Amino acid sequence: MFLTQTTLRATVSVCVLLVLSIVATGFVSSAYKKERASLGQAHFEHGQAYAAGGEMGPAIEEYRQALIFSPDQTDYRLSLARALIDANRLDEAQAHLEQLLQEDPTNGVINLLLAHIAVQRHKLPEAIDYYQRAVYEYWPASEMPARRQARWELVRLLDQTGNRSQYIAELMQLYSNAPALDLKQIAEIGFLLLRTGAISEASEVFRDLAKSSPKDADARRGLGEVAFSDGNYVSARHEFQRAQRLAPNNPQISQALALTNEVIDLDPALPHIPLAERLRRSGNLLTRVIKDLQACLPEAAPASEPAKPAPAATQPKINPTPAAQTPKTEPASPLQQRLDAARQLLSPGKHGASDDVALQLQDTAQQLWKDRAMFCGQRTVSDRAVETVLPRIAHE
Amino acid sequence: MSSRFAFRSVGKLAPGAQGRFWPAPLGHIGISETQRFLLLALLIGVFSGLLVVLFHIAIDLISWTSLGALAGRFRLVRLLSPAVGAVIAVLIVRKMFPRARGSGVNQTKIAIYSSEGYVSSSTIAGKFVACSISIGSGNSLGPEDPSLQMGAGVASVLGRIFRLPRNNMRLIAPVGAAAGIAAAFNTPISGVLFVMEEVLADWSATAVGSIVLAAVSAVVTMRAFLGNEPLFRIPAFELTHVSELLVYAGIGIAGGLLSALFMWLIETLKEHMEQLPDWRYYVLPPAAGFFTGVVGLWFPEVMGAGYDALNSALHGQFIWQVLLYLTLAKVLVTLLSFTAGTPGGMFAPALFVGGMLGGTLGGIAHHFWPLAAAPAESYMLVGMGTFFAGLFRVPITSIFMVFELSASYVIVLPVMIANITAYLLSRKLHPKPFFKMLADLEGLNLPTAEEKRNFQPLRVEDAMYRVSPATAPEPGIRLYPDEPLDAALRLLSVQSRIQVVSRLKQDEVLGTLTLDDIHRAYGIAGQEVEEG
Repeated sequence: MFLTQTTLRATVSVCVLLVLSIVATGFVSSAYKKERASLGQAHFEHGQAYAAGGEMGPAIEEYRQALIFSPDQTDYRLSLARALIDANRLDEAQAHLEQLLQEDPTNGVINLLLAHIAVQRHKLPEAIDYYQRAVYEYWPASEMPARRQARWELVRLLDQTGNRSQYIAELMQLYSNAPALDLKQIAEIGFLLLRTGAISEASEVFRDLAKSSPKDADARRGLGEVAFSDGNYVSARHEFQRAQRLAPNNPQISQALALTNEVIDLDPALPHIPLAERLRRSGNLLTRVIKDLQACLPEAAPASEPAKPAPAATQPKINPTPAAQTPKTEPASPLQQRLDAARQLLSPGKHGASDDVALQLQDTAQQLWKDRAMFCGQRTVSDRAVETVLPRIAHE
Repeated sequence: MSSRFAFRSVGKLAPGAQGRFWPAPLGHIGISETQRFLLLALLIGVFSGLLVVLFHIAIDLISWTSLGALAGRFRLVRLLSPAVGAVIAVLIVRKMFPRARGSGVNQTKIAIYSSEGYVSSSTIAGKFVACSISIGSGNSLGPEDPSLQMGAGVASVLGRIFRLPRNNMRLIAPVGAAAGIAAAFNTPISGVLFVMEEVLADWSATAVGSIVLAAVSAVVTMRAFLGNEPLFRIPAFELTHVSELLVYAGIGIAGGLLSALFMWLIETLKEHMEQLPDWRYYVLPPAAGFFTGVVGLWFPEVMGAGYDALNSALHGQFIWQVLLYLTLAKVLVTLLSFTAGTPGGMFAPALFVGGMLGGTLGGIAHHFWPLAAAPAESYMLVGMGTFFAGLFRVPITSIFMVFELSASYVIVLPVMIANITAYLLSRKLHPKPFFKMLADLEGLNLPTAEEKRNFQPLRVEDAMYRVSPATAPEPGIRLYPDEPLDAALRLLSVQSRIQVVSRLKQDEVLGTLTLDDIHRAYGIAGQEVEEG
């Protein structure tokens, strides 16, 4: 007989044994996995409780235990990494996050945490990379606010690093999610754009905001700032006034309105103003420039005093440049000479009333403004109205 | 020497069993003997995988009970657990399963070379119970070596059930061994390579095919029940600067030195312990366990196999000073547990010691050379391979193991540099390989794979009488110069003088070969061996 009784019995026995072994192992391993999972869960919950109470040391230990029982639980590892970052144990946190990233390279949350680590280590280019990956990669629906938060963080970082084009692009990306943002955040985007000089983008943001929320004071203020930046002071005043009606106690609006009024009153280049008015404004401008310059040169002679040679001690002490360090034997510095000339120009009845005189006053004001920039730098708060008007007349 | 292992082997095989193994049902559908053997290898892999799953669960359950819940409440439990575990394990082995003693690798070699593939089923049970208790209770030993032996045992039992012929019975034990170690490490390639490199040293197609099949089916089975979780969760490896290779070479040197020292310490301690009376079997393991418990109060990471601690270290949990303490502590407790005779294997401690040593040196490099050196974790991976290669003398397995564990191609170059350095240095300082040393200490004369690799068989060209100038061939049987003398001997029973022809010019006779020539060649070779 080809099939012997013995071998048939052996084959059947082994098959039965195999089935029984598989069933038994399946039963045991299933119970074992459940027990592992529940132990892991228990440790994780303890960890969460410790972390909520700010006890990061015990929380980290519990998370670690949880991971021993359930090493494939991303949540556990992520919580451990967060706790490690909070405890400033960045190397460990990074190792866990990099491993998670290996398993899921498109996870936005992991990239964001790695960005936080890079920021803490002052590795800004690396942080920007991680932030960009974080905001463009996958986020679970429940974590969308965190994604927007990540983009805000990226925007602030780009602002710090001075990467203007990327900064504007990210702000506009934020703005593209406007429906999910509140009005304050939209206005913030607009003001940030304005601050970086992206006037047209800011204008778009504030116009949309004003259209969707006509009673929003920030929208009006923003439109006013846009008009002001464009040199359209009358429109700016109009918008600021509307904003003030909507928010009468807002100090920023009041300041902006006051500045606009001041600029309008000071600007000699405004069209359709009579010659006498232009002369008055030009004289005012020069007087304020001299005043501002003297404010930053505290020991200099007041503008109203008759011109006299300035002693060496009156030379600006702050100036580190050789140009300002006039030798003691010299009777008057070039700056002092220019100041004296400007004061003479302002003396009543010295010159006739003509456009040339107005232009001369404006040129002198500009020259002294340049001197001010050179001698005073950023040390004193400059006259914002003058600061606004002077570049404008230079351009004219 | 190995009479105690040979007593049942041949008698168990039915006379004329050749060709009757598991033949009939499959014989109908035209399956050859080799293919049947491969099917059996598959079956061995599944059974070994199931056994390793249960072994793994048993160790974890004991560990959770003794070192987890209880030790969390009572500190004394952590102190006493390894000692209590060691006592129970030793009593089980000595009183109930005496055949489950000794190194799994050497016992498998005995099965192959001395007892025709025979491993008793009580060995499997004994290893399972004793090792799960000793490792689970915190003794510093690993589960891979017992898994290897249990795999060999499963194979042997199945071989006997299916009445394998004697030549296949010899081959079946390493097949099971590969399945057991592959499932334990969850690394099929390394499992196969280890058995090929250390246990069998045979690269024939049947051997490779069946061992690969068994290893793969064991790993698949293990993963089906325990999931795809790798042994280590490895962070991304990167070579930050080419000068780092110097640090890796340094790790290789350190790994080689430490592994040689470790072997010397084991040899010395074992020799001294062998002088003690029989009470040593019952006293030394709990004493070593107690010492492990004492060390575990400060460094609980060194207890048990230590994989959890290694995983944590791979994620930067420890600074290099702590890694150094862990290296030294693990060396000490492993040395004591192993030489005392506590049941368990050396693979896991070897990975632990190597990993921590690599981490220590990497940490030092990173501390003094932060821009050029990667974080310490990268060096841990390489370190694991160096101590393994130096201790077990399996350089290829160690390289593939780290490669398989890290799944990173970048790591290959540093691992090759470090592991080969460690292997050569350890070999130079302590010429006797680890398993050979253990076999010698137990009074066993087992062949080592290293010896087999170095053994050059005599060839026809070594024995033939050269003809000059070359002549034209006569009719009859011919041989080529590179053929083994064994083949020539078989042909000489048919023809008393055989012509040896060139492979390139078959019409050119290079020499002739007779039985006398072969005798003479073996005589010269024997003299050379005697002269050393």
